[in-house]
Amino acid sequence: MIKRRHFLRGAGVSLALPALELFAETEPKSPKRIVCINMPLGFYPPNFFPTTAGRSYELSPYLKPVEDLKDNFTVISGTSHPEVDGGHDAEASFLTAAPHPASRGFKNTVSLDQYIAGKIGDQTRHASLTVGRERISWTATGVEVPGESRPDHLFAKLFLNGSETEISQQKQRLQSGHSILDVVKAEANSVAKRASQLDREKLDQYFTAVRETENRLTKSQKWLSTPKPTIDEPAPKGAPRSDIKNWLREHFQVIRLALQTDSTRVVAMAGAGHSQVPPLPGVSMGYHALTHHGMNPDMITQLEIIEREMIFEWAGFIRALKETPDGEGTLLDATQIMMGSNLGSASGHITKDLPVLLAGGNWKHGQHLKFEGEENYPFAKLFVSMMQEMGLEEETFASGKGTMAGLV
Amino acid sequence: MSRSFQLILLTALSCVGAIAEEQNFSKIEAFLESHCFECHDDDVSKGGLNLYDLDPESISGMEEVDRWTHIFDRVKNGEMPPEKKRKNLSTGKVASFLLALTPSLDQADKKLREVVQRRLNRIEYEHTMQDLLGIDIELKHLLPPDQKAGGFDNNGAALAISSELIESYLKAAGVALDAALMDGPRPETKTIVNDLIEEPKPYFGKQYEHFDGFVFAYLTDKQSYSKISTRRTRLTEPGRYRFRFSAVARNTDKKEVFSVMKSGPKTADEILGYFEVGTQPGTFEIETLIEANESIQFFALGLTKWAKAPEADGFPAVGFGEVTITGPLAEQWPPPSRLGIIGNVDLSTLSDEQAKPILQNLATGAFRRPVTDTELSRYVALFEEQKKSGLSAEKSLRTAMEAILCSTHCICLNETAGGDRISDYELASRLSYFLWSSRPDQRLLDLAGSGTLSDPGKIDLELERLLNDSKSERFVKHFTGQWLGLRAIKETSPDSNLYRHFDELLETAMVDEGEFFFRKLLHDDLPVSNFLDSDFIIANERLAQHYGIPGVSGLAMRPVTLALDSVRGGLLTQAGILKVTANGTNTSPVIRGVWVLENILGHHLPPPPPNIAGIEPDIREATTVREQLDLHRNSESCNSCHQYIDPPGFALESFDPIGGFRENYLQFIPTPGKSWGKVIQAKEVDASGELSTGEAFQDIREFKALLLKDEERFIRCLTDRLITYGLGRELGFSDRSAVNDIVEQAQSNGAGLKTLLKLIVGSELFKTP
Repeated sequence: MIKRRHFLRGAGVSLALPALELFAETEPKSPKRIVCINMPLGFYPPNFFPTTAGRSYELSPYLKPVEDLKDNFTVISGTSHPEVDGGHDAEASFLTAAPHPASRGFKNTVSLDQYIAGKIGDQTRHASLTVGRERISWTATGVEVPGESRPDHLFAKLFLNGSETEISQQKQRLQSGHSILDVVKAEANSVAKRASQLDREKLDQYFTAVRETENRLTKSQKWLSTPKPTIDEPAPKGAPRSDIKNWLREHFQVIRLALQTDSTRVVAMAGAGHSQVPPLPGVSMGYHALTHHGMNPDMITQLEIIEREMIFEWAGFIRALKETPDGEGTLLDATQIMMGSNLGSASGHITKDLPVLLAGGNWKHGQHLKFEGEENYPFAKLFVSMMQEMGLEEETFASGKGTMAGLV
Repeated sequence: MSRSFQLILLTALSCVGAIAEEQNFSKIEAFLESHCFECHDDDVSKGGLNLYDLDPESISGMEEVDRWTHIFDRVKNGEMPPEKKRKNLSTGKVASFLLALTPSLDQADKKLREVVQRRLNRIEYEHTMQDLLGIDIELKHLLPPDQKAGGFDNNGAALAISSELIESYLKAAGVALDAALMDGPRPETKTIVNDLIEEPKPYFGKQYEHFDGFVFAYLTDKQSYSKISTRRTRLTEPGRYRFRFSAVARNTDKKEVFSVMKSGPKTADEILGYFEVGTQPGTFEIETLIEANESIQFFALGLTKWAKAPEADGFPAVGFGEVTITGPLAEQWPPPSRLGIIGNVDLSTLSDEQAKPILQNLATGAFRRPVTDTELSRYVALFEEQKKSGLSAEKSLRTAMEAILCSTHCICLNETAGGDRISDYELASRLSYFLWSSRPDQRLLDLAGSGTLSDPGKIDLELERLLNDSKSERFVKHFTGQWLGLRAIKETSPDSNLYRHFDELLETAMVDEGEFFFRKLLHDDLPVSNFLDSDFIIANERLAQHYGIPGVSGLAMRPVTLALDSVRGGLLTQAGILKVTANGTNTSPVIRGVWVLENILGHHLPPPPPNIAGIEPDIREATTVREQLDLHRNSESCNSCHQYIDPPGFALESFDPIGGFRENYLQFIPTPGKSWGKVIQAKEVDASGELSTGEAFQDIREFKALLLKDEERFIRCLTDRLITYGLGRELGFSDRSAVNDIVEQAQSNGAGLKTLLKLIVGSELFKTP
């Protein structure tokens, strides 16, 4: 069987027939999902990157403990977004690839999750979920999509139904919402008549936003009468962000439930990048400060403790997806999980050589895909590959022109 | 004059214009040909610049304007063509090239410089709703975060609009109206007393004590949880509460400091204030909005971190007496906010005739100008339509009110009067959003209505009045928070091994110093050169202690005169700025250098070329960052920027990541196998350097003296920052002559900060769309 994405790559953009008809017999039963995770302070490179490449690579110190999953993920090295610099500010460009995020006139572009949500988001109650810290999800106009940073609040939003009075109040609010939008639209129209060219561009943004809001209200109205899925697991307690281990674990639990119940198919998560001291044995300094270790061995030891826990929780998430049946396969087969960082090395705020792990989906994992060469390989090519694996007919995304070589 | 003759004259004149233009272009062409193309053509394109791609005859769009402006500046500053290619280049040739380029660049730039449809950012939205509706609840957390451009988050071009935002406005309008229109029976105000004893009781005789009705705390820890709190008193009714308590210090001869924090199961912690008290008991009162199940906690600050038997050993302590909690407060009922919006109208029997003036009143306030009949009719129609659809009159009115609060006229600073002047109402809004981050008050609107606001002298008086209002604190806070970067004060936590003495009190004082210093210059109209160096600082005891300045006691920030040889004075040596330009553990001359260039000297650098290896700090190596940078500057392409970046960064190396003065770098040596270690003095700091002009300095004092020699450059930078913030747009090439005028006038009038502000709000720029 020719893999779908290979065919698409060959066919280029000329493919005009609806994909569903063409590939009806090969279309998988369970919907495709995607989870993109940014750990804004990255990983200590010598511990993260394997020293050997290819399929028979040797696991790095950080990956050794998750050996059981070796065939479920790919390590990718030697990639970054071209012209994305600016140290910590690069987190805004992690899923957008927009150049020079620290420059004075920087305007962000759409992030991968929001782009995909725009394509397939209408099929689920939530078009996408933005989880965790800030600065991960961006709309096409460069507005930040705020994230939910408390796992317990996220759980409530996804799975707890309001009372009957609350639902009927909500219904009424949605209805008046439509009427309000009609009026403000009419008014903005009259402003537009007198506006200058630059103002008109801004007003166009406004009209698009109002139109989208109307669609969202309509969608919310439709879902209002459908009860939320019932979950027979205990709700997360709501670990604070400083407790990085439990915070990640609880978030991963809610994300898994959201995917499993098909409440959403698109998740973007910004991991913890705070300056507090995580409550982990052997750690006495703030997480952010530790990443600026200046090669101080004591600080690196402490940093290792934190980063190992992060990998541990990520692996727990992958395992849980693997154990969850979905359609004819597992939830992991239907979900691509990309975890990386906007910093190759936080110690020097370096935005090259990003650490990236790709798990799940219909990929032949178990390799260290190492890109060599003076210039880094464009990271956004991975985004194109991931979109094609989801069945989207996309050939480019920002600086990613085409798919990532070597990923099969 | 006959018509045909007029026509001939006009044609002739426009021909003269065309010829002049033609001459300019050939001059530009010739200059580029003989001095630039060699390196910047299709083949070489040094620094990524290919001049063949750029046509001076048709400059358009932001990118091209930026490129040409950059070319203009580099040629003007003598940076390009480079030294070895300047043989046949006279100053006259350079001047004539610049003169020739000016008109077309100016024209192209002007098209881009307009305050675009600027929506309120979430801070402005919150203040606007609070001031309009007479409420004090928080709203900004309901809106998505705003992006910045040109360094500020009130920039019209960066404040994009999305459906996320529109949905948030719908929600926030509902929340704001709920708070404003509160109805129903008057809430029952109760008074409860909490003696604070329950939780610390098991520790009495150890780290806590109980004497004369006061619970004493002897320790200061960094936690956000205190055993001394009112959390056992469950406040289930949300609303405004008053907390009254007394406090006292013991085993001390000075005043001790404590903080009070509001916390709840569902809300973020909020510091309500810092207080000080001596051995004479003092009474304190705090009024705050309480959400269900919130409580207040007490933290003694600046005390010891650990002691086994603190009372026996005579450690200082702060004691807290019982807390009297009164609330929800409802001195006036219905609340004044409700009366202000709907008066005494009974909403259950609301008629159409009653609804109209209510909507008119709200719309006038929300739009910051009179509403037209057409505008009003939309909201009245919405009200009627909602009623027809079966909603109650009250709910229908609510819907129409929410629509007003979501209207573009409310959430955007619409400037659509047309022509080259904004209207007086628009001017009133510009002024108040500049200085208050909120809507104009009635007096400003009245002046706008009478058409006298833009009269000479009038706007000066209004500026004075607005600055004297406490709402101008918002200007000081948001301007300094962004210009100086003080908003980022909490983003790094200093290495606790190296900077053990760092604490919350110091961090708070750092931000206060930046704000108070700005405010002092503003209110006393002191010369802005004080930002470069000053003979005083603003400090309290904690900050003065950090700076090693004796004789300052207490929590209050106040001016302190510096010794003649002090390294402090001016912005660059303020601990807050030194902290936000470091990462908590190390300092980087590059980061601090770029900061000085951008924010003090107005020198904007292009981003570093792609695929440049950054410098990673390595304490094990014998080389310091400085030595690594020296290597860096031997490369011509690196040096083209680092000759400017590094020197100011070197001068600031005398200050550690929390702004303490240092002569040596510190290094932490861990004791093997233990969680502790010792701090040693490592390499000596070298804070000397040489500016690109060749002027050398030995230390920060000499560096500041060099800065003062070119004071005008700083004034121009500050003027640019203030106008960018005030207008909500970035300045460009075509604004330069206006900015120069302001700088010149400021200098001939003593260059006080308030004088500078007056010149800005009185300028043509401030009245142009």
